[in-house]
Amino acid sequence: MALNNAKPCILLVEPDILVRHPLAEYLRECGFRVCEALAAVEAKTLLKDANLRVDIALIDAAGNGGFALANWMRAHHPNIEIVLAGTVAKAVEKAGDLCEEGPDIKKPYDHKTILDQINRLLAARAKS
Amino acid sequence: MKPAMPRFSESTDLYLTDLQAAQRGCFEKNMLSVMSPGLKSPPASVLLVEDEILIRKNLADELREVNIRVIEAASAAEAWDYLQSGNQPDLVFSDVKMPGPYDGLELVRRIQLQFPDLKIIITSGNLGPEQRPAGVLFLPKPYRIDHAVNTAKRFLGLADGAE
Repeated sequence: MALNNAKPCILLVEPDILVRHPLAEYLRECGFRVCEALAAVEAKTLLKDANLRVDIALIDAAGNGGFALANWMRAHHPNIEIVLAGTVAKAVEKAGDLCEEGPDIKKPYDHKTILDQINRLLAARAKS
Repeated sequence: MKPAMPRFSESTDLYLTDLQAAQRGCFEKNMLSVMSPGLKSPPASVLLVEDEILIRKNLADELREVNIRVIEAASAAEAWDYLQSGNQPDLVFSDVKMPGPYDGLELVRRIQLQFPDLKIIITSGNLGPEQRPAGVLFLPKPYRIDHAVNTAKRFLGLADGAE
């Protein structure tokens, strides 16, 4: 069966199913293709072995190797826009070097804020 | 800005206007389905429990292609967390051997105790007939994705689940 690969693809890396699933469903309803990963190791597997064309990675920074994953993506998939989310102020400062438009996603997630951020990044990418 | 949700007493026209606005703004689907009895019923939902990310992703993608809502869980414990949070899917499709504090068989035991009406499919490559719990459908691994999708559709009573 053919999947709709024309939709922008979001890679959502979040360990908590009760956070990940509602956000993934929300983004799907907004017209995105969403690939869910529990942790960095799953995200890397998807990028290496599933031949995914990911536009934006939304990564929980705090747990399961989020920062390391962001660094790895910078090195291996520089075309993927990264949005890091976190609760710890220091971690969010550190994220400034890794993600586009500044680390302005703080947990708990506000879905609309994330949608706005994704749309901004996609619009900027379309212009460039 | 989020669209205002209609009150039940408001007119259909106003409601449809709000509905369209809600769809544009990706407003909460569940609220809409409750408040719009004339619209399509929500899709069937499957809690897919599989620790192998590539299998889980491929099966989830194909289930979504046939309009089944999929909740992805990477372990039995994560699936149980989801069920304990008050969410109830129409079907649980679970691997047996998974990392974590307990496996798919323990998940089945817990579900059958607490949610006896919940449909369950379990899948495994090395589970003998004597180990298979009663009251669940067993799908041997490895399986073809289209076969798994059709099995789920049949079990859910969806029309064209026949192969």
